[in-house]
Amino acid sequence: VNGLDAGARVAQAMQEQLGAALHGVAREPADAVRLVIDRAAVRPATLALRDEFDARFLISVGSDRRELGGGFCVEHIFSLDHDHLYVVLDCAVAEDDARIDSISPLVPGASWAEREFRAG
Amino acid sequence: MLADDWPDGVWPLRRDVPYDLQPPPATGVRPPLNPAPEGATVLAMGPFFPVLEEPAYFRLFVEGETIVGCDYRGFYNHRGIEKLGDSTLTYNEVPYLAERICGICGFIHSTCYCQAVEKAIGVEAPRRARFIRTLMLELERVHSHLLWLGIAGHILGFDTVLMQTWRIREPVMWLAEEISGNRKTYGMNTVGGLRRDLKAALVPKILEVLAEVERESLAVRDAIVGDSTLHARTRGVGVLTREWARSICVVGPPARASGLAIDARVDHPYAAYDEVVPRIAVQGAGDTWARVLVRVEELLESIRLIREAARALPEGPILATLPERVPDGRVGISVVEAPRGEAVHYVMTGGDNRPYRWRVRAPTYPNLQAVPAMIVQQTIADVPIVLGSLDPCFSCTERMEAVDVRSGALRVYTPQELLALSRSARGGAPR
Repeated sequence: VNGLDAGARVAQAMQEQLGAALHGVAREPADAVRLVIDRAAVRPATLALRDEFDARFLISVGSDRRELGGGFCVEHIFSLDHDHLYVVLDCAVAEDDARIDSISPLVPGASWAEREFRAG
Repeated sequence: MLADDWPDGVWPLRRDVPYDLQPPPATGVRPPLNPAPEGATVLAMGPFFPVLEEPAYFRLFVEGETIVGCDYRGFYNHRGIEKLGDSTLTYNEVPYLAERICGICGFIHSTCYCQAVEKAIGVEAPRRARFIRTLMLELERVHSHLLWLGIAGHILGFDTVLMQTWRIREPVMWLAEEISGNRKTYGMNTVGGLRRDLKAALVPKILEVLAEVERESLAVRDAIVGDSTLHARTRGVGVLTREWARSICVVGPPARASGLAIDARVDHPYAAYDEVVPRIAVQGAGDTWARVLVRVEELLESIRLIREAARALPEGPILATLPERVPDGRVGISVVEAPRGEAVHYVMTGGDNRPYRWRVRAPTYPNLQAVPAMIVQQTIADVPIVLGSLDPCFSCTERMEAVDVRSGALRVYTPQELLALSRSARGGAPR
């Protein structure tokens, strides 16, 4: 792990923890790493970011991506302050089963942001 | 968050829901408030309360004078800003809306939005534009922190502080008007840089005004640091522990006053903060006094940063060359350290010259969530200054009573009556 930049370290740790539940990693723009994960893995991914990387939750984004060929999407955005890096957990949510586990039990500060998904 | 009369099953941020949809008001859908613990009495503070002057409802649970719990109801004024930004406005119209998210932090939100788009499309504002943005952002912090000091003094009944700090602040507003054409620094930002340059002749004037603001701010600081009444009202009052601040993701001066050395200018440098580096003000006590000290230190630090930015201001263009067509499906995340804390803007680009998704998080959003823990075991009289010490910024609206001046009869409008009245007052038909 030594020698890797923070984004690569996060991606590697997630690969080890989530296995096949990590569907993809994107590094664009340069100050962010996007982890496309199975929605069922949102809690273990959040726990790893919080406990192993001291990640600070910023906000969640609910999006309607049906026009783009997807369903709905929940993105949880974290900051790794010391590494000047954003980490995005990108979770696809099917239109006919629009549910995802709450991360508020792990990150109480996500409570209001998660309540907004009912509006999205 | 949705209005109390928004019907279930209507999802306003879905792409197929028009921005001007006005469904019939629903009843009985308002989220219930928590009941008071056994033996406690409910004391309603808000939605309109004289020392807060913005709509928020704190349902205090009290035993005698002591607060034993609290429930909160906010979001009284839903403006649909994100929906407008990704359904009706174009990329370069959004900054005019973004800067109206807040009555104080206008330049902050327009900068944050523009930076998010710039990152998404891989464009960097020219160096001169980034220095001018830095200067304007710090000017906003100077006038905002002076404004807050005055309000804090007012809440505590120390109106001399209010009068003096607002007097000191006023030349900063005049300066902003000379630079931007508007006291509120509106209309300067655009995607890729600035619409308006900083005139060379204004730089010496900026330095001159700041010298006076600094001299007078130091006098205010020296007058209040040893004031025993202020200490009595703020030391040990409204303590926000470091652990809870971290857990609830508090930002800005409240976080730094609780020992968290986070600051978007340092954690995610933007504008010219990689060259004009701020010193982060940190205190450890987590009480209201610590939040006063952090803001006073930041006020003086902002003056230093403006001086540095003005003296190092490079020549050159103020607007980058933008691509003919903005590529769609790109994401940019931007943070800006507002006076109240970190603002976050997320933009996903769309194919029709506007964002596909625009998400905004203002700093009061996480900070307010810390309030219930901060006021437990405090007295009722301390609640206004504890809330005020977060420098909360709600979008503005008011509830009202109507008094018949002839009979003296008082009438309180119900939420349904107020909604019907506001709709009929603008012509009755949905816009």
